Amino acid sequence: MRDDTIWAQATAPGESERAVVRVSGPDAFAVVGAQLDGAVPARRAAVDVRLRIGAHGLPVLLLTMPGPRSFTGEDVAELHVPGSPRLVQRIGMALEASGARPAAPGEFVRRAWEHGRLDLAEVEAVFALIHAESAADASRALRTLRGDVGAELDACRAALLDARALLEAGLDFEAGETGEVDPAAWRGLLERARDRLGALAVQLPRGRRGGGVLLWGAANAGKSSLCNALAGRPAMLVSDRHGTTRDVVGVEVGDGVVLFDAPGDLVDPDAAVDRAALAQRRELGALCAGALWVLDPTVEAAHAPPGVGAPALLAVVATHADLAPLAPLPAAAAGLPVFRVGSPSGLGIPALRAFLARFAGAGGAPGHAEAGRGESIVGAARAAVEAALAGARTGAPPEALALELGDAIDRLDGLRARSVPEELLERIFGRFCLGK
Amino acid sequence: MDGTRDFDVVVVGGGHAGAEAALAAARLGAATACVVLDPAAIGRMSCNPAIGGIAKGHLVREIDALGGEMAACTDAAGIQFRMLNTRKGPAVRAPRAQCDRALYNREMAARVAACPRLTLVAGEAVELPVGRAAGAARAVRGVRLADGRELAAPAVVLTTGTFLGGRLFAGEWEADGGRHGERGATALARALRGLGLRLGRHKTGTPPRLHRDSIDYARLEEQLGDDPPRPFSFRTGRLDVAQVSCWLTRTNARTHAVVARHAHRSPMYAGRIVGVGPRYCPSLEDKVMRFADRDAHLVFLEPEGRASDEVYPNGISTSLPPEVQEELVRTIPGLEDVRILRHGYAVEYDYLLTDQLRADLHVADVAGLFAAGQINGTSGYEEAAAQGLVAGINAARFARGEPPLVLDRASSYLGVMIDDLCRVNPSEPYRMFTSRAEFRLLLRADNADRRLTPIAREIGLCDAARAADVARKEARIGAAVARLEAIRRDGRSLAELLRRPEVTFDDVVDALGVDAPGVDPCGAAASDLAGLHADERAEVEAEIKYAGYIARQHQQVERLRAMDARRIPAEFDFAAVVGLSNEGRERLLARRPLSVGEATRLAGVTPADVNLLLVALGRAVSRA
Repeated sequence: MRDDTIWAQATAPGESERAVVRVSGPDAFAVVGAQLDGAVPARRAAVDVRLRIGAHGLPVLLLTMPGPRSFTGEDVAELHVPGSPRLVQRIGMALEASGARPAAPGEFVRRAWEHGRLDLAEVEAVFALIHAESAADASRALRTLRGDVGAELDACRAALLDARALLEAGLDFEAGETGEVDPAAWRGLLERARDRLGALAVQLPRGRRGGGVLLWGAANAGKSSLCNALAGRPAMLVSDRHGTTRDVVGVEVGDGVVLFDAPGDLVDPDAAVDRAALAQRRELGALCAGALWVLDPTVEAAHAPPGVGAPALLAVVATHADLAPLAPLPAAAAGLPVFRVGSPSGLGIPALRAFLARFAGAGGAPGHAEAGRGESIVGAARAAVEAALAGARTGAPPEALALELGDAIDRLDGLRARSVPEELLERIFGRFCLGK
Repeated sequence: MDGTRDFDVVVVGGGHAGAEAALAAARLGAATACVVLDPAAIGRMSCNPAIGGIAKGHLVREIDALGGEMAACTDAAGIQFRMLNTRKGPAVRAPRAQCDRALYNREMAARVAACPRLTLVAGEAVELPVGRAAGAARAVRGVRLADGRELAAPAVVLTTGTFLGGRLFAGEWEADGGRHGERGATALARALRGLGLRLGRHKTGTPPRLHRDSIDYARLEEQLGDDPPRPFSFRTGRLDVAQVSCWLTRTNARTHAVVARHAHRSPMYAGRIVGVGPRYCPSLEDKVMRFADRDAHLVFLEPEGRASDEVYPNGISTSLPPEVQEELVRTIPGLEDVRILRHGYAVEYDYLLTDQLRADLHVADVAGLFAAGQINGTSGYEEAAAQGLVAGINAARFARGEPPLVLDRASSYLGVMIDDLCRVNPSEPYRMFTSRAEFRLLLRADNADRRLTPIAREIGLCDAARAADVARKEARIGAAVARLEAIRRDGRSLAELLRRPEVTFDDVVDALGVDAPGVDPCGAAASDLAGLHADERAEVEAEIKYAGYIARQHQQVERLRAMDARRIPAEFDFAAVVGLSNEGRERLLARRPLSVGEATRLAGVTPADVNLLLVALGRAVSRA
């Protein structure tokens, strides 16, 4: 615990309607109290007080937030005063005369972190918010701070731990003790965690490079094949059937670009699962830095342009160029860069990859340079979950899958620090009646 | 002796931990005394008559590889052998054996009796005289016995099991004691508290023992041993043993009704037991009360020996009153007319809060004092024996002024267990699980000798012939892996074939034999491969099937060892590191880790704390 009390102007410097002077530390209330005629309430409160400034004193609003339920976790007092730089300076001098010192840059946030009021992801969000260059950046940072992201991360982590507990129970105990654990149980948990992590990756405060790119197009236009071709590995399940992709899946294709292969416009708009998938696609679209319109020019029905809710179109990708290299494109595609690609042959893929790299390098999504850690960690955790699922499909032994899950959880723990093995056992024992 | 010492090492206790500790110390050349309440109880199995199991079997193999005796005694006393998890990967397979309780006891006692430099002393240790060491620290000077004798020694190993402050319970009955019919060690617990050591309380329990002739086997499911049985010890060539069967039955709604009706008479539920019991080995009361939705629990009827009348019903440990035990067992199929020979009971005992331990099992504040087994908060014969071995080794090394042997988490389950104990006080009796070992794929039961025998050789617990055997085995495995990589069939190497989940080593060898009988190079390979010992086959399979993962784990091990190699100077000022989390700072100040690796593993120290620590260390170094 620090023993000194700090102060700073919490609003932007310069003249303004109101300025907020924030004081934090063990003596915050005493230091502020020394400037007032009345007493400082020891509880959480908003009170009108009179600052001992000038002949008659200055009426201001005082907010008191006793620790640990405050931003920094210490006693915090805020004075809401008229926004005059001279006045703020004078108040500051008075506070310093009573024992406070000026805060160093970022010190309030640092104290919040030290006292466990913010975790690392949230600290990053604060800095991202301060340095946000666009409304999208700011909203991402806000989402982290509001706890949406934290809650979502916790939920993903909990799902991964649950899945691992199911796997581990089968390894550390004989089947006679646990009963057979249905692999579908942990596989389902993993699939949902993977999708949620994918969606989370784009919600986190961003690094300077890269960003999410949504593949938008009709069902069976070849989005998944395109994804695999760009990734250089079979990241997506591909089939001739319409609507093979139901989950929103993110695939890193290098240069910080994450392709989100959302489901196409599915055949059955009434099926609940399809509706949910499309709702997710809309949500994701709002968060992506841009979209590629993927269409199959050999199919007429595919020529409808993306509907409402699609992010800015970066380019048109015409698939099946091996079969129909010169097929006409729909009128709506006019004015956009066009890439004709053929999936098995890799035709046109290098050019498209170079285009995405340029997009990423140009700062697909601007943001504070140090604030991108969260995104890459979540992306890596997601990749580890995907590796576990891929392993499960090819029959890798469960202890190998557990290794991947351990890796995913470790990565998330780097973002929100915690310790694993005891929690894992907790879950195993909570679920199974174990022991002979 | 030089007059100031009667012995180099005194071991207090002769159970699984004590016997291994005493044998190891004496074999390393230390004049060793083993103080026991009852000399006939050396290596006695207080609980179930089985050794091994998943993760525990790994420990037994490690004990064997490092020069201990548990595996050899199990091979000599085993009456049923099974390899567990055979349908899972090679890293989580583990051996388990039912033992003849009396025979195991005799085997271990015989080894202790025959060991040169090892003296068995019958008596009760009541006090640890402590003096000042050369430095400022206090140092143990030996052990004082209840009859007034004093055994002077520079190193003492405590292996008190359930005896330290032991108290037995069954229904409303309770009494001091360490085991059925044996008194506890109350004075010693007082003495340890007097030294300022912090103790916690744990609980465990046993089921009633049944007369084998009163069981109706016709109604039960039989569980056979493996054919052929695989030995525990790397030194046992082949097991020639007529195996006995275990039998399976189940509790039912009637059993659970009896338990629920009388649960208030269980000392656990009546609040008279304060110690924490293991969740993985719950009493029947716990199973019924905590998992009310389960309508049946498995019960394994395990014979306690060839000549013994006693059968151990594994799964119904209970401290309900004797008359309730009588009622509840008879609700179980096959046990309708069963005769109880001894009733079940619970035992509560003291243990040392483990943040007082060091990685060599030295008790931090008292030079020369070591502890192993249940006194360190663990449960299980295997966990105890493994620690006993390490504590015995380190006590002998301490007495000779040699640096301690510390096993890290990448070396062994033993290393994982001791590191876990040093980091966190176990909230329940600590049992080994494979999921505790982050380098699980590297720590296989089958390669314990490749991992640890070279260390045993180095410290003097293994002879040259044995070390050479392990080196030859290593070479055979390496050659076999290389061969499988080199030989191709249908455009693919045999290793690739073996990497397929459904293909086993034996399938690959079979395929070779059919295609190329006897003469060509492949034929020679086939006969070489077919000649590998079961351990070696499992190792070849593991090396090939896990290849990619093993490489990854080796990288992680390198990182771990690099962190462990980053020493923190003893005078380093943790308080001056800015930005540490509150809990992290407290833990670092309390523990004063000597390496970044140790700091990383402390509970409450976050990855961010470690980064700050690294930065501060970097600054400290550049200033120096």
